[in-house]
Amino acid sequence: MFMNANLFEPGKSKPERNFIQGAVKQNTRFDGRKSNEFRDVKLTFGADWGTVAVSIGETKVLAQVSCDIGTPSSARANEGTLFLNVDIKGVAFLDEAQATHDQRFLTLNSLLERTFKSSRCLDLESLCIAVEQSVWCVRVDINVLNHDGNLYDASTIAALAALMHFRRPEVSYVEEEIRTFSERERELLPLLFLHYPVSVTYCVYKSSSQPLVDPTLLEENAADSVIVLSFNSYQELCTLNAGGTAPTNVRTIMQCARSAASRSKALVQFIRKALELDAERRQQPNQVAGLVDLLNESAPQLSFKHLMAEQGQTETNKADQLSGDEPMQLQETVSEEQTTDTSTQKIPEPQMDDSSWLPQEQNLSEEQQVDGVQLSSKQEVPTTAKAGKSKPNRGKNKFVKKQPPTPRKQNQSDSEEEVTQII
Amino acid sequence: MPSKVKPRLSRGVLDMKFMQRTKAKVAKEDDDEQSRALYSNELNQKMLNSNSNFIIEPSYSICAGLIDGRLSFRGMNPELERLMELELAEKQGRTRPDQPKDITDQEMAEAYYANQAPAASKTMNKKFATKNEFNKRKSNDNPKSQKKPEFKKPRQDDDDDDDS
Amino acid sequence: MSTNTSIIMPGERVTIVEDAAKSKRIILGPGLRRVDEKVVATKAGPLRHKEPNTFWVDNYQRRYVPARGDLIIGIVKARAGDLYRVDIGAADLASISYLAFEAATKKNRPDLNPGDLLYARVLNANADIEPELVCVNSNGKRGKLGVLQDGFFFKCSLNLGRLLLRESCPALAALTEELPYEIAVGVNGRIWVKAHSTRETVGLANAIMTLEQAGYAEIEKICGNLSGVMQA
Repeated sequence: MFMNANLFEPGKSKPERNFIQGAVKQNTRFDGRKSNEFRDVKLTFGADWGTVAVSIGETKVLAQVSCDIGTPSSARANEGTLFLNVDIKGVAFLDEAQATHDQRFLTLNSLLERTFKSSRCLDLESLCIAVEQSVWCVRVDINVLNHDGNLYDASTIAALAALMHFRRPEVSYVEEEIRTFSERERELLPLLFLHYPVSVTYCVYKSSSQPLVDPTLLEENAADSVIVLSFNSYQELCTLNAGGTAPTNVRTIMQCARSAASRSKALVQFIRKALELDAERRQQPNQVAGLVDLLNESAPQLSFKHLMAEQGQTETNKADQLSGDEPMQLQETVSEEQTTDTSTQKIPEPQMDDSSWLPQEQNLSEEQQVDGVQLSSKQEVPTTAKAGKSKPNRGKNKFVKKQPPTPRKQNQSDSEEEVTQII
Repeated sequence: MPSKVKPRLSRGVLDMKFMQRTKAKVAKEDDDEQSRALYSNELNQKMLNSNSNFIIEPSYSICAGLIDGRLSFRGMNPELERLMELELAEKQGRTRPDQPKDITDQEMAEAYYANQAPAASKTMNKKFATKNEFNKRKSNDNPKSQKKPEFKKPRQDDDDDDDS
Repeated sequence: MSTNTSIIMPGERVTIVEDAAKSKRIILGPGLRRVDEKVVATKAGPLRHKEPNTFWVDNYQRRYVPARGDLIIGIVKARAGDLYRVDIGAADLASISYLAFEAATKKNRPDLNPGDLLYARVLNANADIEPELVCVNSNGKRGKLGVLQDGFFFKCSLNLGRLLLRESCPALAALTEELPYEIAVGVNGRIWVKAHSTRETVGLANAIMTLEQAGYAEIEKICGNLSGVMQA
């Protein structure tokens, strides 16, 4: 009785739900945002490598990466392991019902696993010390400190930032003996990435065709369905999580996917920039925040809006700097996209010229569950046909470009993109 | 020395029909006596005799004198606002203002005598009048009381007057 | 209400109250407890006094502890036999009988569904049994109690709920200047508001939520600023 007696969570009563439905219809959000507007994302790096606190509005998540040396699994003897652990119990008011609590935990955990593990964002082979004997086991602990909606994005951003921030010690393997070098002996090594995925969450309501991005807890609880899309900075789809009861058509999903792709890209850029600033700060002595500062919010916070506003002005320079990781052409297409996205509200998206691909995807909406692999392959066909007709469409070009830079994807595509449905 | 033992009624007496009430009373007294004896070692004199100056009130609303939380303003919910008004009036100790009288007391008295309204006395008189007188009066009355008495509907407000 | 704000801590002996009790009867409100002849605080916060003889501790709290006579807002969770189970933000679910509504009979039951909001009075509150609610007054009339339709609903601290309900509180009156609205404030830290449009309701709810952090002096400023909030 005691366990499920509490309804402190918003969005559980009928008036709340009805009100949100009505508000969505009128395109009003409680905090005055537009339907496609994000809350500011703030990153704070801790004193240790791989400690990051992320806040999206009132949602706060702390991620900590650690590593040790262990034995690999026999199936993948030459790869290190990545373990993701989510702890949601810190949020006291979520004790509404054990079942819901577990469900929330499982959903979040599986999203993270698919985003980071199944998409193979870490180069696990680089974590191998001796085949079949010792590998690095990387562990990400994600602590949810406060939940005001959109835990998915907060967790993925935190996990990615923490992994990117993390440094492991160097080891040598000589004559069957592993020697770990301390920080003084040899410089610590960052983890190697194949790509950088982050998620973007949308809420879909029956009363409106316009999905809400970055929902608060109230909006999330009142939503008919929640769509979580993970994209990496190459704008490849890593995870698509769609569930709930609202009928979602292809156009909504595609619209979400497009803006999610550019948003993900911007987020990864933001994390990079924040890391650079953090590295600069670490050069100076006594400038590193401890855990207490982190939680007190007295540690320097790196705000998305703040950093990316600068970014907008120095866009071109920035692109040059970052092009080490990414093909130049890609950078340009997206920076355009992203500026349109962040600057003003994207008015009901210009009618997509979807006649060519829509019929083929019709079956997707029937299934309600979209397989990411199918999605990308299907897009490829009609867009090339499209190009033949010489009617270029920027949105589509993006997806064409999305394919080439990933030859490695071919052999892993079974695990690269997958989808499950949450009820 | 008179014994202090309370005289008790015998069972035979108590079983009598008219003693049922007394029987119940006596049984209750016995019970009380017993329970007092049972707890006497736990209840001390202090607990029995202390008339504490403290009253415990666990409700914030009563302590702080909070108003009722259901409010409506500027015609949002007329039904509710009427209730609020009534409550406010009650709180300020104002009773309902008296209805203005359509007919003053003076007029009433005049009408009363003009109609020779003491109808009851008249009818009672009839009872005691001799047959002769009765007939005489009847013949006298007849031409006078041309107008047939008819029932006049009372005004709706007349009912309410008694409570104000 | 006197403005002396002496902060007291749990376990502390409250001598002011003891002194007052020598001359007259004293009402001990929540947060104060009598131990023999001593008065001891059980909650932390400012000690409040209301003339003539009431003392209580106004601690900050978000968890509601039911007390007889309180007017609260509850969410219907389930129906169980002759009862509805209602969440009132307390440790336990409260129950309300089918018959505790105006003109309800065994045949004519009120139609409530899980998720509905109720404005109700606490009839019984005891540490050992679950609290019981009613939606009628002693005459069997509905009065102000009953189901709250439409509008918007949110939670706040118990203190904010009580603050709004003080007779001297300027907040609700100041908001009236801005727009017509209807409100239900439960002392269990739940507020339901309804205005003519969605936009107005959002503004209203946001204004009330900002009061959570505001001092008494700032209230009028915030409420007066509501029109600004709504344009934003």
